[in-house]
Amino acid sequence: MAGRLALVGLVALLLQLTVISPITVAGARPDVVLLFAIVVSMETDPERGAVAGFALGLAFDLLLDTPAGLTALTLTLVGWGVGTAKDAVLRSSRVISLALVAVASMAGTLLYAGLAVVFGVTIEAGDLPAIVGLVAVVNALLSQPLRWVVRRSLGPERRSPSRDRSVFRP
Amino acid sequence: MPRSRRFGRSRFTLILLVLASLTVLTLDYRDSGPVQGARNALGTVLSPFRSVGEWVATPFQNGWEGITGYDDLKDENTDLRRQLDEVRGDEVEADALTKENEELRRLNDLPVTADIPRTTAEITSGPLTSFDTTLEIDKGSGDGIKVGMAVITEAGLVGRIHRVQGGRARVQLITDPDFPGVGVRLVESGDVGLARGSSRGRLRVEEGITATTPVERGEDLVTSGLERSNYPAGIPVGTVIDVQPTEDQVEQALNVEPAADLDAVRFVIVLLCDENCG
Repeated sequence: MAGRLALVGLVALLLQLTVISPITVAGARPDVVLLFAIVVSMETDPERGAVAGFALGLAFDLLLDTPAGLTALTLTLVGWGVGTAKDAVLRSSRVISLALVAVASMAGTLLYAGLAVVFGVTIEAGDLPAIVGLVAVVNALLSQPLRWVVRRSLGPERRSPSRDRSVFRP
Repeated sequence: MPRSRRFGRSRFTLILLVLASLTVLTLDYRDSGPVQGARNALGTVLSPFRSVGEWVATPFQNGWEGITGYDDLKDENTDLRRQLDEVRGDEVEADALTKENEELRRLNDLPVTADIPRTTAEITSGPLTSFDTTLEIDKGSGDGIKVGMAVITEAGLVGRIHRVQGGRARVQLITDPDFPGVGVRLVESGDVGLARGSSRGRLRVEEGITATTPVERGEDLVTSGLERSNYPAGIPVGTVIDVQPTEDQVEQALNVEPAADLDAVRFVIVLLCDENCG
């Protein structure tokens, strides 16, 4: 299971490097590495979401010029946060799932920018709205196909239990 | 497993992972061996996969650029043809002056950029995220490339080598706000200043140009090559697009358009000298 999930993560990373990164809209680039962490959290639990986020984030960090560990830290927190939010308050619904992906993508991007500034990277504040908006929209659009792939890679026994009754869990 | 115990275990995992991330950040900040080794190893392992991915993705990227940038390219093409006609007239004169300049520099035992060993490299990828501003080239440590070396095109200065990862290296552009700066000289007045990266793909000179120096919009800047610089003297840096007095009114601040087209660069030249190139 972990091997198959790692393979999906590796493919997501290669897609980011070769297909996604060259695409720019208003100077912003989509981020499917962040999406992978969010989707794994949604399909499993906070712990595995954080681990998946950390692993792929660290791999991405080693290819970037920004301080190594920054993406790993961001995706760890995003993975755990999404998994916790989903377990605590959400029921399964396509609209809620898309909204969760979009909000988590925005939060993850802003968290990364904030941490980057703390660690000495200069961020143009004026560029943030375009970056946050693009990442949220693209991740929401790509979330359903990636969720399907992640679900298949996990196998039936390792997925999180379905939640389709109450919005607030007891 | 009860929910509270599972939640406690997940929080313990979270703390471990956060601590691990902070450890990596600290190691990288201190530029320690393990992180650099891991960078090189991962870069080498992923290199063939990336090459295949790039080969597959190129037609799609070209299609995307064709859809989104056709009108801009058409306008740019017209503008470039007009510029080319102007440049052709200046080329012969510039070649003659360059040769004369080199001869005079050699006679005076001054370094000549043309004498510096160099290697040509291809840009293999642009920035990887919205917060990344570096370009990747297909040459690395095996080609003699080291951190800090100047990267140029025929048009002018592009940046410096920021990181070497096995057979690849990443170039920090001169317009990056975190670029450490480059010594520049105004061609007309000879005043020397320090140019740093600025917003919107431009440079800004805020130190060294006195308030009394006459500076015109359109004036060119070249590297000064002073004080053990990694950048040899005389490399075009950019053109002044506007001039304002600094807050203390003692000096002038210049906004500068880079001489090299950093958005469309495909091939670059790395000057293989990492200190005292000036």
